[in-house]
Amino acid sequence: MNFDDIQKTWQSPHNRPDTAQLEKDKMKFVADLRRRRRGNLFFLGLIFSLLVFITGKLGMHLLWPEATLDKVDLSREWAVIPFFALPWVGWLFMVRLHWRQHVRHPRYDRSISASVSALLDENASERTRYKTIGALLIASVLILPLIVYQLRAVGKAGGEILVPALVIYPVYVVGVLIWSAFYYRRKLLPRKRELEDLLATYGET
Amino acid sequence: MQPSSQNAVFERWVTEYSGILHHVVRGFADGADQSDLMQELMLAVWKAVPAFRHGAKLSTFIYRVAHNAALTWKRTQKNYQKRVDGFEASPLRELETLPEMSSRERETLELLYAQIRLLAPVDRSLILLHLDHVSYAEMAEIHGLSESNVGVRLTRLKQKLSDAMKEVSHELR
Repeated sequence: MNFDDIQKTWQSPHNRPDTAQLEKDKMKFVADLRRRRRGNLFFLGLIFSLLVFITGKLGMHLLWPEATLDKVDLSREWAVIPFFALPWVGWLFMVRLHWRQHVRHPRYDRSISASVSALLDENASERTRYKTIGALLIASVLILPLIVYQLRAVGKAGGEILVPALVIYPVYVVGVLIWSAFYYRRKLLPRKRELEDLLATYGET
Repeated sequence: MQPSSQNAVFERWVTEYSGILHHVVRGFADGADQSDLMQELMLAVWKAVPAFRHGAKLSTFIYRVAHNAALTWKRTQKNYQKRVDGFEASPLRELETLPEMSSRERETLELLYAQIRLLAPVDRSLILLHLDHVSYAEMAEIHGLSESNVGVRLTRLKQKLSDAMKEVSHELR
């Protein structure tokens, strides 16, 4: 069979899409898209509600402070500053990664090789993100005993915070780290290799 | 862009260029994976609607979006498992499952797709584009390769595919 025969086979009526199947695929896609949108809206709503709740709570404390309890003496309770700064450090780092990706690949849609290259960089950013979140979580676990000590020293907390702060939270962090390590090794690294292989084929002739 | 107009454009493009999607799906996936890949391609096209710049050639744009999605598509574990369990990877085994009434042309087409799927991903994409009569210049633009590179690769690929088809046709007789 030569290439002309292959081309004839390619033109065959059997190589045309089945209209009924296409309609079915389209309907499935639209239903799936609606489901995803509902899921996204629910997720955004949940995050928004949480933020409103936390901000509201904080606002109330600022507007109507409970005299002695809410006064923060930074010379004796300074550990809360790095603890609350950690999420902001993470957030700023994510913004920086996102911005770097945007600057490096302004026209990632120019060609497939450019897209693959951008995807590879995105994979690297995601891996860095996971490492950073891991490091910040470990840092938060290390700072927490100091906060507990300081809060107990100024009389703002009793023994009831020992278990949540020194057992439950570290266990939660270990759980997140195990899950992250699994995702990193099983999803991100194989994807990186796949994209590198694909990109390497563009250099071959 | 309004979601309603995005949906309308998507609907029109998918209907008009269904042939491109059909060829890409069959060239990159088999069995249960085909439906999965078709959904992936549709999502890629739907997302790409606002990015289309008027003045650009629409077919080239769709080819790039579809081939890009197929090349970077990640087969789901569920479908992969189904495929492994079904042990349907071999092209000859696929043929055995075809109805007896199938035409020879249909069988040859199945074999052709099976051989295309055995090629390296970028080669697979290039041969599919070539069979759809996409010009070398457009292929170079779609993939970000030089025209001469496309030419060299296709000369080799055409020969490779013809040889493979000769071999499997001979085995069938």
